[in-house]
Amino acid sequence: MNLPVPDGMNRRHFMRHMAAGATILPAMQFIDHVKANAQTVRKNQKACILLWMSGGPPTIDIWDLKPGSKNGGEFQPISTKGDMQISEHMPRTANVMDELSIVRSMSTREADHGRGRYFMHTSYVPNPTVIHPTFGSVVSYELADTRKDLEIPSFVSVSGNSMGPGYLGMGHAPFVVQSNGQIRNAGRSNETGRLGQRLAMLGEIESNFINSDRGDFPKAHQEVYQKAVNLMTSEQMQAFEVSQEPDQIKQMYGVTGGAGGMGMGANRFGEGCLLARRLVESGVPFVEVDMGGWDLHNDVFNTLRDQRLPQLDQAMSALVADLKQRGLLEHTVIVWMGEFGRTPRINQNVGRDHWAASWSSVIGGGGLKGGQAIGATDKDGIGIESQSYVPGNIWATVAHALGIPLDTVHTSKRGRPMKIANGQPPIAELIG
Amino acid sequence: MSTTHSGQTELLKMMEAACEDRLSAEQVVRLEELLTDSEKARKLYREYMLLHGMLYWDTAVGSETDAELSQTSSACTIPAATIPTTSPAPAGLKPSRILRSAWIAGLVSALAIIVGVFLSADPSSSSSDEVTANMSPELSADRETLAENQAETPAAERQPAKIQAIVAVDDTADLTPSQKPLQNANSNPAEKELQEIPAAGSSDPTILAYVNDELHSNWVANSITPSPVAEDSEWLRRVHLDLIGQIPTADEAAEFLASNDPRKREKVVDTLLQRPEFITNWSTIWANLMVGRNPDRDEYRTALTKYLRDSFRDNRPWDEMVAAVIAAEGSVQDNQASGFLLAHVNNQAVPATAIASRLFLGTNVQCTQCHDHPFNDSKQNQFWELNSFFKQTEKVVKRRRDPSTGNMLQTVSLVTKRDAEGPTFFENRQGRVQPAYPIYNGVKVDESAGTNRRQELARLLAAGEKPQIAEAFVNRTWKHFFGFGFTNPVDDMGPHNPPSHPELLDRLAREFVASGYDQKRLMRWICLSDAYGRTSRLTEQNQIDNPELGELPLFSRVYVKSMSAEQVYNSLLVATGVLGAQNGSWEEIEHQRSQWLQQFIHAYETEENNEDTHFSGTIAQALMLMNGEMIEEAISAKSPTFFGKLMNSKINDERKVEQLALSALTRYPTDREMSLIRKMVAQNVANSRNQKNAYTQSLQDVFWAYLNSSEFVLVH
Repeated sequence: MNLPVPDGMNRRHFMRHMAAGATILPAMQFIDHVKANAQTVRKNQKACILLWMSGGPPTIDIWDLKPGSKNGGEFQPISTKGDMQISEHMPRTANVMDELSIVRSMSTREADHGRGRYFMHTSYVPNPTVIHPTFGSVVSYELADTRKDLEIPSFVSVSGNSMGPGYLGMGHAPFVVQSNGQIRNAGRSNETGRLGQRLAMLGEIESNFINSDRGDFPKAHQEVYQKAVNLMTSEQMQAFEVSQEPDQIKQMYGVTGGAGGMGMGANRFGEGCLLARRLVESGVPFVEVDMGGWDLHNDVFNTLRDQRLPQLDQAMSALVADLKQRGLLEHTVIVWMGEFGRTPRINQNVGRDHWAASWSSVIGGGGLKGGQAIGATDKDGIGIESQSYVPGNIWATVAHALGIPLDTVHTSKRGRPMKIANGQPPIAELIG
Repeated sequence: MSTTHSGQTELLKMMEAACEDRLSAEQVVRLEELLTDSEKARKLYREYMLLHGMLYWDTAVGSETDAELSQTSSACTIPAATIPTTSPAPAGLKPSRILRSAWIAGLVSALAIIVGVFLSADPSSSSSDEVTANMSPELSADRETLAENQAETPAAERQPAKIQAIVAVDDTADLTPSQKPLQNANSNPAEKELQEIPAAGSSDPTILAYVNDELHSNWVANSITPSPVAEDSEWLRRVHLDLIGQIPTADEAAEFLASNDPRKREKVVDTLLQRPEFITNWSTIWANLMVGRNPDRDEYRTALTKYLRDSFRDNRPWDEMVAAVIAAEGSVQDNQASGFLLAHVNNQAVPATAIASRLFLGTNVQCTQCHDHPFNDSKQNQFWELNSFFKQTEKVVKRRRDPSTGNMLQTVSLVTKRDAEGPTFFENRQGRVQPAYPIYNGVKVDESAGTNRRQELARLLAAGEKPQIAEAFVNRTWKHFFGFGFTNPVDDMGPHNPPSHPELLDRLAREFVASGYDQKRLMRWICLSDAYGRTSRLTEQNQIDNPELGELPLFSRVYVKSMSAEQVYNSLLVATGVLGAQNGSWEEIEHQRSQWLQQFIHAYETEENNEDTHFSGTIAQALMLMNGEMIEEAISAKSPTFFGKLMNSKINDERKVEQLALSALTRYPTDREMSLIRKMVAQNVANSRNQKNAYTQSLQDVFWAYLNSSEFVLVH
């Protein structure tokens, strides 16, 4: 479908003004995008959805139960469609575990929220002299060339902030939205015709400032404005409209009131997962969905049983099943993780504290081998009895699945070469 | 005390010779003379020796981790004869790394010195002093405890590589006699050796001269030329944003730019420090830091903000403010300062401990909650010892019926547990329960029930000659203005993260204490410094001064900062011409602002009460500035707005455009902008049937573009 070119906007008009400016103006691409065709569903494009468990989930109660151990807690394991057992409070997910694998020997050493969040997102430990990109930014950057017709941001973070783009620049920063997909201030102005004129003016002012030796920000600002303009004028904005989904799909994800939460209220994480599916379907290569409330220093079992696990179970199982049914799962990697796991030992407040030494994350889809439990912890969940893994192994596996070469090297602002996924190898059992 | 150019050349030659071990006996005498005669020479000498120490260090240890550095230039080489080493000699080093490992370099430089001249107050010694200070505080009130504490610390550890002062220097000559006794009264044995550390309590001009000198000699040592002095428009805009959190109005800008008063910058600083917006700006900054913007804690934030407003209005001393929030009791109705702890005593007061430590002490102890600090000497028990001051404080909820309305009212109070005594307990990594006693900085307070622990902590925090709260505050405040602090980040200070300018930080902290923790004076010193007056532009001559790339800052320019969400909000109101003319109390205005801000805030759902913004440079910010209600209001031609009034005024088109640029960017339009705008307006008007409308719309578009520029959203 073609959008009409608004009155007062023509290419020559812009070109004349741009000739005065030293830089390429956003306005130029703006015209191209107004004229661009709305895209059809892209079934073959690779993507990744990160389910981010903010606060550090107690994986010993979810993915790697220790029945019979003093650390085992209150839950029992159940069998799954895959070759492993998981928590009894994850029954729906148990039914799709043939698609997912559990990495049970994560050992990540950062047990502080901020440092753990950084390490798990970037594969690098925090370092004051360089800010590394979160992996969503890496994917956005690396797959940019394969999504030339994508007019909405290529890295969307739902319900949470993710981390920054580091040396890859603000053009690859996460676009943060709420789970309902509503975007403030993006409403198409009824004066679209004037946007071109305004942008031409802006380009002129910017060219002056960009050349004033004040660092990268003015250039990044221009790039970000370009993306914002693309988004404002794009038919692809429909991808954010979760409310357009049929009721039965919404029910499946718990959007209209579902499992967990007081009074079986709406499952916001489920809504976020549904939004993620819509975005991936529209060609967005990386979506992160944040689920909070995992910092369970107190009353861990009641909270898990009554709130967290029912919500997680419903949303995660719906996402896998929905992607599969649409033929998207084989192109879409799903990663589930948080900052760290939680102490095997149950503390005096019936809670579990921060624990990075031995915990689990989950990965599947995107052509990776599902149904496996990779690595193992000892009978009390404290030690690791196999090869251990760090986030770099997870992200290298994702890179492999997305077709991003593992020898890809970026350059830090200081000119230092930085390997993607910190140069770690992918997990062999997953890529077969 | 100045060094002539030829003197400097001679000095450089001799220092080079000294490092290469080819200094004759006569030259040693001559070098001694030069150094004795001139303060500048001594500084240069120290920097030079530090550089060589640094090079040695890099060769021996650092070359492995910083491989890319050794490939760059070949500026200096240390001959193997001077410093025995088995590693290959370094190929070169970026000068900006001089201070990177200053304290280690200092140790090495002590080895490198082969002449008989030793100087006091080497950066290395004050840096090691910091280590010392952290381990053994000078607390007059607790001499006995202190003595015990020192006895536990081996003497060698307390005073590493102390360099004997044989050149006595009286830097305090410019002090008034009444200030001098202060020095003696407060000095301790360690400081008597360091004659060069002047007594704090100097006059503003003395302090400013010191700040300027210190930065300047560092530029010389790094062979850079600072960026030129900022144009008036750049400086005025920056100082407004930094001090009062908003841009100047078009009128303020025009008046300042037209003024020929040589003291106009100083006058602006003094005026801004008295503006009501100063109070709003700083109370907002500290409310954000202390409580955050999470709506769940709104009640506490509102109360604390009121306390902060009163404090900034009265320029209350910083140590008093810290003591007030640390020792607060009761509900927010009883004591507004209780808002800080009410927000953070959840989860065994872990957030209170961690946040108080970050904000007031500039140290990050969060990770020591679970284990010893990975990079410094902080131990897990130290976290819980600090926590022990807070842990026996509870939030107590009381409900009562309002007799007049019949509604239930709820008050939440900070109450110290009645049976609060003895140690508190924590689990160590092995799961063993350990006691933690209320100990701060090596001083243990009485643990019996009668002690008000938080009052004791408040007292300890301000005890001694240079309490850590002073250094932390100076560091954070410096960063607020320059964009980088002496350490990066400002809240993770410690021996593992040495400051870029240890002497300057030390002196400013002492002066801040001596001033009675006078925040406005500290800000005045910073705002009137030579460095703050310079442009944010990089030049060919100071390319290396780029802390964004991980280099230590040299402050040869002011670094570009992104406006905070609050700064954008307030500045848009200024440009709209309605700030101060809004209806309602400050609480209502504050409420509107916080509603607007929520779109950019993300509160982490953890037990650490942290939050984050996604504002600066994001698509969400761009959308807000392109299409948001505030921008619509700003460019509205309806009369009460600045733009509306301008459209109705009789001034000519060019003056109108000038006003738009002044209002948004604090500067006049460039010639190119003006000619482009003139053409655009003419064309639009010519092509339109409704010429008046086309004219207004064209200028709206111009204003829109100015407000959407990176020049607008940056503090530069």
